[in-house]
Amino acid sequence: MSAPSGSRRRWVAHTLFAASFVLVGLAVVVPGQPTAGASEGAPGAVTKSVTATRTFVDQNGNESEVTRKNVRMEVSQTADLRGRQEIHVAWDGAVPTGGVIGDPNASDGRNQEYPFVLLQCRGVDTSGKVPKGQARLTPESCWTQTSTERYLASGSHTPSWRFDAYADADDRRAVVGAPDPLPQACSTVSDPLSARWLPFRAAGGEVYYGGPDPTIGCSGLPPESDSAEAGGLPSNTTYGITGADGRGEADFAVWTSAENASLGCSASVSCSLVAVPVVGLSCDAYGTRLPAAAPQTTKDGVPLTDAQKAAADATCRRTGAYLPGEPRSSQTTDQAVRGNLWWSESNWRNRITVPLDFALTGSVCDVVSAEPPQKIMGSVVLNELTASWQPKFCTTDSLFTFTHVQQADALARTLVDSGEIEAAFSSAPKADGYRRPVVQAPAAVGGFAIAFNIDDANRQRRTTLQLNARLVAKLLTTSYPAMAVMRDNHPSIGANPLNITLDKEFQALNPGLPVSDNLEAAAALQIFSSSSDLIWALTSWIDADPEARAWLNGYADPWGMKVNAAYRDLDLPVDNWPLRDEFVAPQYYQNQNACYANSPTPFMQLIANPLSNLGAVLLNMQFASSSVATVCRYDGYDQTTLPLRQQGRQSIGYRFVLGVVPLSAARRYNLSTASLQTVSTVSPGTTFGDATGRTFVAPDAAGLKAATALLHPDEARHTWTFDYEALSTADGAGAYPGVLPVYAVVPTEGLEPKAATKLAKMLCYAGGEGQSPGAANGQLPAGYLPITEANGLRQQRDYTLTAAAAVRRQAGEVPALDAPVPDRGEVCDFRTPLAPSSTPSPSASATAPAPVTSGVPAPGPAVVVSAPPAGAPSVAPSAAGPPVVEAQTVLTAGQSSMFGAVGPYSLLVLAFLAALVGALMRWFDLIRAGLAGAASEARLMVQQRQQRREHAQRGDEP
Amino acid sequence: MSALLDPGPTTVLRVEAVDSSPPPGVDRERLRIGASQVLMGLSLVLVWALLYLFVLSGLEQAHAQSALYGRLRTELAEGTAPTGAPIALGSPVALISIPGAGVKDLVVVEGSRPTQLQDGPGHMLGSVLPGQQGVSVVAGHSLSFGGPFSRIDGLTRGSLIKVTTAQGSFAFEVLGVRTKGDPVPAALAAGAARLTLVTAGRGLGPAGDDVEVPDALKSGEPAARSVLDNLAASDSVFVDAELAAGVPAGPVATADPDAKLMTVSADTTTLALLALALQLLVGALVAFAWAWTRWSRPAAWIALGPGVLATLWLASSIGSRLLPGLV
Repeated sequence: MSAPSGSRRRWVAHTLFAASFVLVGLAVVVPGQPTAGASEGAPGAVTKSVTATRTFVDQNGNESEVTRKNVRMEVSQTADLRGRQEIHVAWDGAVPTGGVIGDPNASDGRNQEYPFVLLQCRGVDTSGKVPKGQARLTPESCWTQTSTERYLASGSHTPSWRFDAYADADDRRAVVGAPDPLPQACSTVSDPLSARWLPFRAAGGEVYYGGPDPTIGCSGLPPESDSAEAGGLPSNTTYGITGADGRGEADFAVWTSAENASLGCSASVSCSLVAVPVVGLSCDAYGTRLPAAAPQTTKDGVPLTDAQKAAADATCRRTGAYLPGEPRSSQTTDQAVRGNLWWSESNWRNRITVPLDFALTGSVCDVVSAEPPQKIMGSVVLNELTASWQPKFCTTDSLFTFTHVQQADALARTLVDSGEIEAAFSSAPKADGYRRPVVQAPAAVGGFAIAFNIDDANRQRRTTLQLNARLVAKLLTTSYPAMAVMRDNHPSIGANPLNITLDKEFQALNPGLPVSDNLEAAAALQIFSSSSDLIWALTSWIDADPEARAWLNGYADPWGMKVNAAYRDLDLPVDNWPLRDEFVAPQYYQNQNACYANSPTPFMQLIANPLSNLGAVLLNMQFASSSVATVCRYDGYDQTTLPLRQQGRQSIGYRFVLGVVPLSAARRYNLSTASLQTVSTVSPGTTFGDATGRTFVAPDAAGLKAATALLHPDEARHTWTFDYEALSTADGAGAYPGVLPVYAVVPTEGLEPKAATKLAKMLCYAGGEGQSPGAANGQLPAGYLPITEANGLRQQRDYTLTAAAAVRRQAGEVPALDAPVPDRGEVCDFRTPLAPSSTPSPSASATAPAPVTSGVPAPGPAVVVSAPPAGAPSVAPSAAGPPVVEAQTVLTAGQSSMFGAVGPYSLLVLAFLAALVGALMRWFDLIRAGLAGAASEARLMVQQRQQRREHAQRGDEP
Repeated sequence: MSALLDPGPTTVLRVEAVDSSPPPGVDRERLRIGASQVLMGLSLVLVWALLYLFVLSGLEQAHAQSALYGRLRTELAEGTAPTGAPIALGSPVALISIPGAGVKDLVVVEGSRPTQLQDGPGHMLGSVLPGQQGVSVVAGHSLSFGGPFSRIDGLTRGSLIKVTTAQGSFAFEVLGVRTKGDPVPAALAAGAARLTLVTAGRGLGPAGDDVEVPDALKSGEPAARSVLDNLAASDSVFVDAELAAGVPAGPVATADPDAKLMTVSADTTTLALLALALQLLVGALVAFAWAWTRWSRPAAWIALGPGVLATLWLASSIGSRLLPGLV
């Protein structure tokens, strides 16, 4: 009896085991697809090559070629570029790099030997005439972040760069390119015998010389030169490392004028990616290539002696102090082959210039369009979509100008419902339903992603990561103590692993990652603090995951890790992650950390430190900045006001940051994204050592497409809801949990005809052309799933068209999700008016109450304005002209004062009473005596009067 | 002889305890006198407080106003009067005249905390300056400190409010008076400027009740009030006035979260200052008492009377900052 059931169980286990292998295999293979697709479909992938040579010229003028390299470079995308986008550059055939340092973007990379220097330069690289309105590309228009990358000084008369065989005679003088006159501050800093200045020419025409010490006023630097710590962007100048096989690769972030106005690249200002494969200086120490009348001299004009020339020849002919690939040690690198000579003619002439073509940005709309933009508020998930659509819309005559005001989805829904804005992008249904008739038309299917920037044990960037909902919940609830002070003192999380790298569960799912106990950033998941449906989707997934929910409810994980008590039994989903841990670090820690002691706040909130905007999270993910705000820098100011700072950039090779971002943003900024767990067949109580039995789904087209199958129509709310519960069943095994459809919420009653037409046009676009994927403006950027029949979203696409018709008609109808689909040609032809709907939708009247009218009529026109003393100003209606829907009247919020009402009276009465009682008490005897005397006197008088009367009567008688 | 021999009465030695206690009633007498002195002292203090609030604080504001007027006049002439944030708290920003409410050439100062409102009507941080496009809010006392805004709740639609700032003279037209529960006026048209005066209303009835506008107000004349009416100012009253074309607004400071107009607010600075002032007062009183006993009484009055008065005034002035700013 037991034998058959046991064998069946084993058979089931084997099948599941095999199935999990297949699924895990899929999960591993599938992430490769979008990148492969991207490199195929990316516009303007370019391959270029150059032959780079180095020659020495001897005393007699004989040339000898010492190096000849055929360098080939591939650039993944050169067209439709957007700000901060990373393009992939790969090269082969270059000289192997020596004296290697970890971070090729660091300024110190310039001192490597034979780096492959990548620069972004403004201008057109041509020997002929430069097109009108463009600049010529020269080293002076190439961006470097620091002045040391463009200023060289030497205490010698004969530094190698003076003997460049290909340089002009003028460029071989002792001091070249110095500002004239030299600022006083510069000569006091240093007065070198030889110096080479390479000023930076900004787009506006300013010239920044940089120089030895720009901080003390010796010439200036462009404002963007601020280090990343000061809030600026890190450098994109890359001193790429070529391996011993001559190959190398790098991701190059391109700047537009929005990121770097001094460089000033845009759709109209040409810029290029310039690769300078450093092969070393071509030497002409004896000046045989110089005109005979002008020999090289020292700074003071004394011709160089033969001995000096011989020394110069020796230094210039050096070929490197390091072996290929050898990391940098204390030994200095050879000047003649360093990266900081990228501008020297010997290296520069070998450059590969790849023109970059930037996409038009939304800023063009201010120029091309005079009409006020149609404002649409809401979802941050659509940021990349609207960045692509906005320039297309305003440059197309038949469309219109709009702006996407990124705002909390819940607020946008409320404002649409109250008539203060005309349209919103939002994902979640409105909690208490809409009181106005609105349609929720699917505009795009995006999602959230957990981005990471993690280096593996080999200090290479990791490309895959597997997370389950419980791990995400552990991070969000700040259940990792992060630091010893929390482990030893916190009441509820002391027994937990210090951070995620020490968590057995994480190690099981992601074997091979370095383990560290001083990595505070690995105890935090960077999220942004505003309300958004992005967080709502994330927390819905956590809430629906059985393991995560049980863990949040207080059940320990198989290794005994427990939830932070402050978050126990947390109600999910939420659209704004609450900060609940209130534990303040003990006094001894405050004594160590003066900044913390200045304002002791709940410590785990500093570890979590949600950022105020999404852009900051993205920047931190792209450049691996930790937002953990526990750092105290004693930087010289008043110790009592030192603030806590964020940890900032992590060094290359030791990066570990995790963050929640929209999927589309992750794609735009080339962020690695984690695969998320759906189904687990593993018994919940047992520990596990690998990912067996768990299904992880990557955020790619396949995962999103599978997820759309779990979108179920919700007829009552006229929208589709994602079935999070199904994720933990076999039905949802392949569905990416982060999928998040975004709807355009537009009223179908009360809009001005002009606004209604515009919004209907947008819906027509969203249901048609807008769903064709691509990088160009107006297309659907990477990270969104096209709403097409092929992706199982036919119903959604049709409903967008139905909604467009309803918005155009403004008849107050809310079409059912399965309403008959109107003819696209008719609905989206805006030259002819749309006929009224022939078959009224069955649910039209059900949820279409009269528009909200104000309860109390206000004197004068009834439009909302905030009471100045009452509170924050509300959003004024955007459209010109009076809005049709009356908004609620705001009533004056008066205040009253108890003191004002009764104070003076009571003071007066109290004063009077006190005086009266005091006087009575003081002169009690006197008053009593007086009263007694008066009384007896009165009695006497009465008696006398009586006696007188009696007397008179008696006198009358006789 | 016998008389000589007759022994006198013998001295009797009493052995029982002698009652040497003071006569009964003296203790009670002392307590009574002491209590009466305390009560009369309290009464004097209260009378002083009322005197300060209703008379002396008015003198104080008049004094501050005359200095501020001189300063603003100079700044207007030199063109250095402020047009936007940042403006130092308490510095003059505008000159306001409300003929319908008996206000003539009052200097509006920056800030609406009690400290600033002691010097005159205060421009509320976070609103634009009067005359600039947008909503400007000016708060003022209605009862104490001369009650500069004591009669603004009697203004009627169309009354004139004249404001002079560095950007020119503006004639605002009053829209109406509103109290708690009344609708806030409509949104401003583009380019328009609004001036909202805030004070504690007098004689409009307690909060929450239906507001009955006295007939006198409707007819446009200031209401004739009884003496007792003059002692109450309980609910905030807003007077809105508009100008069709304002001048462009300068930078606006952020709103001051601690400027509580109608609640008793005890901030630590005021309390500390008050403690210092009270120490001074006690010191002056001690010196007065010493002089009273050691010198002659006239000498004590002449030498230390003014000192006591001055410290008392100082303590009252600082102490009144703890009271609601609009009363």
